[in-house]
Amino acid sequence: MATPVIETVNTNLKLTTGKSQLHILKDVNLRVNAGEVTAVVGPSGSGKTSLLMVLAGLEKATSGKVSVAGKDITNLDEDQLAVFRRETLSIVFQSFHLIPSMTAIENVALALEIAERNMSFREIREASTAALAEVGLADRLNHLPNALSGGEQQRVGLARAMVTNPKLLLADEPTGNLDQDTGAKVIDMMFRLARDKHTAILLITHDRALARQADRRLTMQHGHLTEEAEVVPA
Amino acid sequence: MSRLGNWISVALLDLKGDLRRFGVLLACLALGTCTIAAVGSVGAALQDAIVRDATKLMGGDIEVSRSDRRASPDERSFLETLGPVAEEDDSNGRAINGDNTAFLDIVGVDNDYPLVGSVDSPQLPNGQKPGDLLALKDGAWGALVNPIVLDRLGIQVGGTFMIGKTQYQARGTLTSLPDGAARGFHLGLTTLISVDALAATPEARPPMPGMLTQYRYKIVLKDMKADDAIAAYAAGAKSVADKFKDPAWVTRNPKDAAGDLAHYYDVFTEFLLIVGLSALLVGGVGVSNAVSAYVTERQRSIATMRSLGATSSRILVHFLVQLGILSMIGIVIGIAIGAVTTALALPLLGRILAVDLPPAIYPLALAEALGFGLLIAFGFSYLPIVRAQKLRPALLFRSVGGAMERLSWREATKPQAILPVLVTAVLVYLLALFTTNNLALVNWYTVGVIGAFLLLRLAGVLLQLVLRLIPPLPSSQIRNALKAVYRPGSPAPVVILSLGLGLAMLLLIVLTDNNTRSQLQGEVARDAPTYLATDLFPDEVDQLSQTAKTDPAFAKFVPVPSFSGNVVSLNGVPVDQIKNVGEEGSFMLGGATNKPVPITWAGDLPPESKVIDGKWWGPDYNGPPLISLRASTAASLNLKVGDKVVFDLYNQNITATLANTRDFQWQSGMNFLVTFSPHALDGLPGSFMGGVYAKPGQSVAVGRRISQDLPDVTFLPIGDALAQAADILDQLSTAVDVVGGLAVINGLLVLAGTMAAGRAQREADAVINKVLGATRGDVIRAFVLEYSILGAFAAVIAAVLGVIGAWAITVYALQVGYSVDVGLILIVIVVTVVLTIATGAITTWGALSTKPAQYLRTE
Repeated sequence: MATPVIETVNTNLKLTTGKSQLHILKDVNLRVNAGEVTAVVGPSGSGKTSLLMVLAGLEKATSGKVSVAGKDITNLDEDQLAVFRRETLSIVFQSFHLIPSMTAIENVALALEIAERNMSFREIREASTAALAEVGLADRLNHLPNALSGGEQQRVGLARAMVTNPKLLLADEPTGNLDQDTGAKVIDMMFRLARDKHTAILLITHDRALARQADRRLTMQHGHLTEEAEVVPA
Repeated sequence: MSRLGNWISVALLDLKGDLRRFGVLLACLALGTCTIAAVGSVGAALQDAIVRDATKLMGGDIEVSRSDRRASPDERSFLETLGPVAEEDDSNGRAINGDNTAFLDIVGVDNDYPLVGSVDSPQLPNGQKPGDLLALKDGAWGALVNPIVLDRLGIQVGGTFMIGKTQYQARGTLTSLPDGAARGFHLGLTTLISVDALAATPEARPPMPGMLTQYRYKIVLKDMKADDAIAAYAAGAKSVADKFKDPAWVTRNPKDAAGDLAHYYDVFTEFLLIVGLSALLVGGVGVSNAVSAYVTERQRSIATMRSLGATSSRILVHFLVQLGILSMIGIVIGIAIGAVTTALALPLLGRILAVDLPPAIYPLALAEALGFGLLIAFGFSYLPIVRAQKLRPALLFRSVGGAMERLSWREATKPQAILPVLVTAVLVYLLALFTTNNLALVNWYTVGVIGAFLLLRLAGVLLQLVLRLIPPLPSSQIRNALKAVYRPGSPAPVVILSLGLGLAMLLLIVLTDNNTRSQLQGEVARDAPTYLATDLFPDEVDQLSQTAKTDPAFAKFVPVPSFSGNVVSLNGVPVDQIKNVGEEGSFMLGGATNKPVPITWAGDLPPESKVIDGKWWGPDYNGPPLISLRASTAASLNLKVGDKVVFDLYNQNITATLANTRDFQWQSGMNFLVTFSPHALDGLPGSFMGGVYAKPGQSVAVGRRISQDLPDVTFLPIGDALAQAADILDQLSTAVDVVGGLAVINGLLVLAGTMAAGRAQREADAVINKVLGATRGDVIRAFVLEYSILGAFAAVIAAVLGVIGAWAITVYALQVGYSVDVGLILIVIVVTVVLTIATGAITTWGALSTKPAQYLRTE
């Protein structure tokens, strides 16, 4: 059996705020295979984003096991997690999070620079140009983020995420700041690219229509993750 | 590309954008390094000039001198075998023209003077020697005078005056002597005459024979080799010592003369350098604030890079490269400005100090400024960059305000965080030591700086704690203003630190300057006599006493018995066997040439004196001889009450017991090193020293009266001497004020930077308040209240630091009295609060005036 891209076993996340402790993730067991598109839906505050953060190594699970692409990340330190991230996964954010002082192509190239793939400057430039062309921004290479629309910024974010050919793409409400049409286009691109590169996607969304486009749908409720039994029409 | 090269190239790429936000960082570093570069360059120029022109400053290759007489013809002949000789004698005299008088610092020279350099006078063009101009013509000797002499005497060039019964003609004005800088401080207005004229003027004599006279013979050695000057000096000195066995002859070479001058300039530039370093340290706080603000502004970008897989090392290198480049720009700007302005100012400074200072660049001084700049920039940037390293990328998923998580104490004290900062601090200390070569100064400064930083930092934390504990006040405005001081992310600790440091430096300089001036011109001027006469005979004392009672211009006349003698032994140990005594003790024992010391007797405890140990004898005492010594003199000689001291006064040995030690300031009236009990010196051929006190505004009238009544007596114009000292102090304190002022400017820059960095938060606060219904006036009032509290608090803490620092410098370093000018401190505090509010208002006015709709639309 192929190694799953994501595997969590009884994973818990507890956060202490002030004097109280919040139990965010409760015995989460999750398995996602390579190339699979999985959507996680749930109400606000249910723990969806926290799950994504644990999988990305941005939060450490309090207990349980977390493996991504066959690597147990449960006990890695900050720098080891950083290296793990650049070798294994990418993230698309709701708020795009482009570097404001860098152009579109520089933002995409940054991912390759940080990944340290032993590529020359020219090779990085070419790969970044190709990535932006794939998302329809070949004519926006030298634009700063503040000169791009929301949809264009998210496409740059997507190009940046895919240029490193990750095994796993984590998307946190990728259409949350976009209008419906733009969001739909971005999602189409994301799914297409992921399928072309056999990248698994874990998509956090509250949009059930969007979730329906995924191969699998999971529901997060009060920290518990369950397979969605049926999809309720919007 | 290598990994490091990759990291650096990304860092440079990320540095694009609006660089105006780094304005405060650049300005703070530029100002601080400019100050150090300028001060260091001036110091180097002075030392260079002294070394280069040492021979000119001294007036020859060696100088042979004595203080009691001129060389005999045989002695002069011997000196001439060593090379060309020029004679220069120092004395004093009173010039009189009708009712006008002027006290002169007389320099008598022969026709060969000067051997090196030239006398600067409009009447001596092309380096002409003054011999001809000073010769006897038509019954009058020639004189080149300080221009002020002409004013005092009411004459022009060509006019005549008398010194005693000898007539002189002012044949020109004197701008400077080639060896003027090395002569140091002299009483009176410098006047150049010939040695023959001096010999023909018996009335020209110093008020204290043996103390203010010197008969100097400057020699240009005929066996001088430029590449082995030291050997030549030593050979010349040995020849003189072998020939003249009399220890009264003193030989000096240019290094000795230069050494004294070099020491004087060294002390001054060391102090200026420390003040300059303070400007840079205050600027360092600005650097830290600017870097913190930059890191806060970039926190999302940092988190994004971390989410892309950047390690903490990469983040560290990323920001070190960026801030390193920016710091270098600021430092290079500062050094360039410092070097150029110094080079342009050197000739002007040289004219003031009578030293040749051509425009020049001093690489070592600039390198030292570069070193300080880099160390301060790194030391103050490092912890904010560590904060960037520690930033958790999870914040990308959470909404954060303008503020960023502070570095916890645990994280800040981890070795990888704190060690580089400590190493940097040690390197700054070592560089300061290397630059000043003054361990005591650097140590005390280090203690002061660390104490100030800790106190101000602690004060900020304590203020926030105390305000938090205050129960809610009725007025919502005051309540909210106090809350603004202690809320998370408040700039209060930084404002207090940056404002407090700059203000403490300003107060320290102002209070020290004020105290020293008031000592010279206030207290001392009040207690010091207007004129001091020495060697008064009893009939002259009677005459002056009577005049003081009857002439309304006189306030009083105070005669004090005056003797001179030598110490023979201390507790039975002969003086020549006593070693390892301090400076005061050495003076009392007569020094190398066994000079007699001034001695007096008194019945009553002298005014402004305090008995430290032992008991004062009282006016009715008539027992075995007792003495009183200054406490520090006794300590210098390891003497205690009860010890025996034998004196030789006029070939008579007198054994006295040390009855008490006293503490007094030399400025507080006439005090002697040794005071005997009544009747111990009866029958000895002493004289009197007399202090003549004029009523306010009557010093000229009193001067005229005493010079007319007693033309043979030399009266020292103490008021003139104080004015001269005050002039010198003025020049020195101007330099200190300028450098200290730069520290204050840096403090204000830091404050402006802090305010500007908090602008975004202030804007958000103002908008929310307005949306909730607050008027612009409400918002501005709240701001004014908050910053009044901060400004006043910082000012009070700074006042405490400034007062303590000024006390330490005034009492221990300058050894003058200290008093606190409360009014001055209050003025500085009020001005500071006003400036704090004004600076904050200027930098955040736009934020306070933001229209909510405009802000909310773009957010």
